Amino acid sequence: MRALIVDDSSFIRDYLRQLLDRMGIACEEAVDGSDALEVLAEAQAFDLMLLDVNMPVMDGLACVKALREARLGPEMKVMMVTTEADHSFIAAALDNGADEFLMKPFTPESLREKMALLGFTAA
Amino acid sequence: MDDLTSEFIAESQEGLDRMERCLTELEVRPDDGALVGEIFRAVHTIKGTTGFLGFDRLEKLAHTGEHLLGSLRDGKLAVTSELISGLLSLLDGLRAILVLIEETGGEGTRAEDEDSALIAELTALNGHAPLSVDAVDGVDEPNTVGMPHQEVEKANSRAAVAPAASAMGSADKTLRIDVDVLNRMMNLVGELVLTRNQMLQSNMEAANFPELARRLDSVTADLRETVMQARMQPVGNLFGKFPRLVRDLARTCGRDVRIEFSGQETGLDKSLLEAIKDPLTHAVRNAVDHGIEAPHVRVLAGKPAEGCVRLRAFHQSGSVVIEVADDGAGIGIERVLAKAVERNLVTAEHAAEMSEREALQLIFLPGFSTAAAVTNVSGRGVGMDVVRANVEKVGGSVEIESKMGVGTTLRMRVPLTLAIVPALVVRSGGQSFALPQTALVELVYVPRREAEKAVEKIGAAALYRLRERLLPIVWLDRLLGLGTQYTDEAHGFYLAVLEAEGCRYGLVVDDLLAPEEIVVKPLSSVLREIGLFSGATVLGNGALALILDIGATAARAGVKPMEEVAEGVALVEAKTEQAEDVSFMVFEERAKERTALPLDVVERIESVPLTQIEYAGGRALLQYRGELLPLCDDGNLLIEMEDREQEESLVTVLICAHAGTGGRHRIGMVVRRVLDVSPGRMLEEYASASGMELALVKEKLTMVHRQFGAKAAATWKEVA
Repeated sequence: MRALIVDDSSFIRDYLRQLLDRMGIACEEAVDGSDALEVLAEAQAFDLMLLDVNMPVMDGLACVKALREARLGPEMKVMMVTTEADHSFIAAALDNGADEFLMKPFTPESLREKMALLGFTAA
Repeated sequence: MDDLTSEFIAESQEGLDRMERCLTELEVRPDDGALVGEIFRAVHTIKGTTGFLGFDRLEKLAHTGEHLLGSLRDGKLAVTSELISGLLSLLDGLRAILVLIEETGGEGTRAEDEDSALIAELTALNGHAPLSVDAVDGVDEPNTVGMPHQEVEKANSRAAVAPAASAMGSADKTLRIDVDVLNRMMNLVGELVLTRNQMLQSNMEAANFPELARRLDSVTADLRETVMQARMQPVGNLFGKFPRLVRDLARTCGRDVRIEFSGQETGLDKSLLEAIKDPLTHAVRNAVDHGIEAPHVRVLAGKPAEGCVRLRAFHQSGSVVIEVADDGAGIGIERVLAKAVERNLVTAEHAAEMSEREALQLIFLPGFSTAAAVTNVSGRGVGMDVVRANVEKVGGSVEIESKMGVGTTLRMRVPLTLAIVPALVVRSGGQSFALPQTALVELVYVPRREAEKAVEKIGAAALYRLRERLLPIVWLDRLLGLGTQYTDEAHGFYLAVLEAEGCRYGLVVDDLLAPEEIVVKPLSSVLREIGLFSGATVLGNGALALILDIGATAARAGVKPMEEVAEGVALVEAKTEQAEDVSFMVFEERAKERTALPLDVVERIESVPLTQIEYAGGRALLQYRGELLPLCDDGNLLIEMEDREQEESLVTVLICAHAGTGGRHRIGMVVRRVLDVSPGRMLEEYASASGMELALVKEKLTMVHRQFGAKAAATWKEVA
């Protein structure tokens, strides 16, 4: 199983990677929406995308819209990683093809719970 | 978690630096949505990550800030200067907590009282916004502090994520490097390994050996270049802090100032960037506080009310030049000179002869402060002398230019890097020493036949007359107590003319070796305590060499800063034209030291056998024409001769008429040899400054015997 972490904060990327590593999930990272699209365009297959909302260059909402329109990784689940300040975007993101959302700050348990909702169970 | 915490601090600090830059720009372009977005993101990221680490205080503050910025982003608030000030306070508040976390690992306990005022201020700023009826926003609007569900979440996160232990790394100790540069480095290291492998299989005689050596040379050079590049940081990183500084200062001083940059991308070694931070800050402060005039004064002078401070960075012949220019009032030369004279930094005569440029550089002298009134802005005890000292410490230099009414430019010149410096390798007392090229002005070879005459002695100081300027000279081997090997006035010697910390002097060395690019290695504490060396290096031939600290050497050898020496020389030279001619008898009392007496005090020159000299009460006496003459033997010649048991030798004694308090006396002066009788000029000004009387006889500096100076002669004339 492979996941793509998209966040402009290297702290969040490192943190998520550590948590996912412990679940035995291999991770790739991207620093913003357009970077994520590039990674996806390299025809890499991912099962899960953890997508931050507020990012420079291309934010999470635009990213999820674009990747669904371009049908990049159609099987991939997209989980928006957000804070309450972004919650006005969440509804829009879910409308545009995101599958789930996770509120910062999250605990390993809340991440696991949300992943279970998408059908991923820890190895 | 340690790595994560330091990652968090570094990331947050970077974000706040960006926020600071954007804030000052926002004041100029209040409608720029991208700027607001950038500022929002910085605070948002902190808010978003701090919850993971359990820093409640930080989170609370960031949360309030985020909320305010959210309103701004959504167009519910307009950019006002109160808002900008509030956001700058937020920035300071966040920074303060980050520093605390970085230093102590915790965010402090006095959180509530310290932050509540700021939080209230930010909330109030947000409160002025027309309340929105946005349904989605309703959840956390408008009270931002301590919402119950949040507390629960925080408690959760703290339970799950172990509280951050002390954060080790810091933004200052970490360095972001372009991945391309890192890749290039890796490639070059690969090349290096390949070359090594080939060399191991080869041998000195192999046909391809020279080829391999060349390759090693080029790979090493490339690698060095790349590593240096990795250490390079754009000067813009430093400039980024100034818009804020200038803004705050301008407010405090009641000025209207804008700051402009150019050359922000100019790279400079990280450690150098750190080193020039304080001097540069001081220069910018000075520009705003003393440079730019108050708006109404500017308007009266026909200038725009808004002043401008320009920071410029560019490369020039292997160094980086950083300029701080203002379009303010300029520095009043008269005021500088008046102050310098008042502080006894120069004499009035010298001041009158100074060029504008020379006069301006006076402000770098210790003990000089340009602030007419000490303000709380620039009068912080850091004078321009400290600016100069700091810049010179890293091998740089600083100068100032100013035009009345037009503005002032302070120019700092610093080397690209500290780790590798070009140096001249010299030998002294059988050892090698490296002299940094930045301090080296010129090299002089004094051939053997000139060596003896070239060095003039005034009291204890040795001086060399280089193109009509007196240059103090320092024997390196003598200073270090290495024992003279070749260096002696009787042989030819090399003089390395050095300049540092305002001192200019000639360093006498035995031999000059090749100029080399040396790698500076720090000294062990034992060697550092000597205080004369700034580092050590391994030379191309494998020998070790100590790197001489040019400024410290000058201080140790008692070389005075240039202005003082220049002053003395200027006086000497100035007086040359004015003083009346007097005839002098020139003789040697001590070896190689020219001493003179006004000719009219010398009655006769006698050669006396040593045996005729008698002693009474520890004094040497000579019976001369029925009179008992006390002998004056400042050069200890009599003792020297007695020691050598040269009983038959003749002593040269000058019979002098001496005007003392009890009337006229005669005394005898024991001298080595009489050199000359010729006209010369007394340098009276110099006498009052130093207590030593000097004369210029045949254009050579000559000390006038203190008991028989011009004054004594004058008194005697009166008595007679």
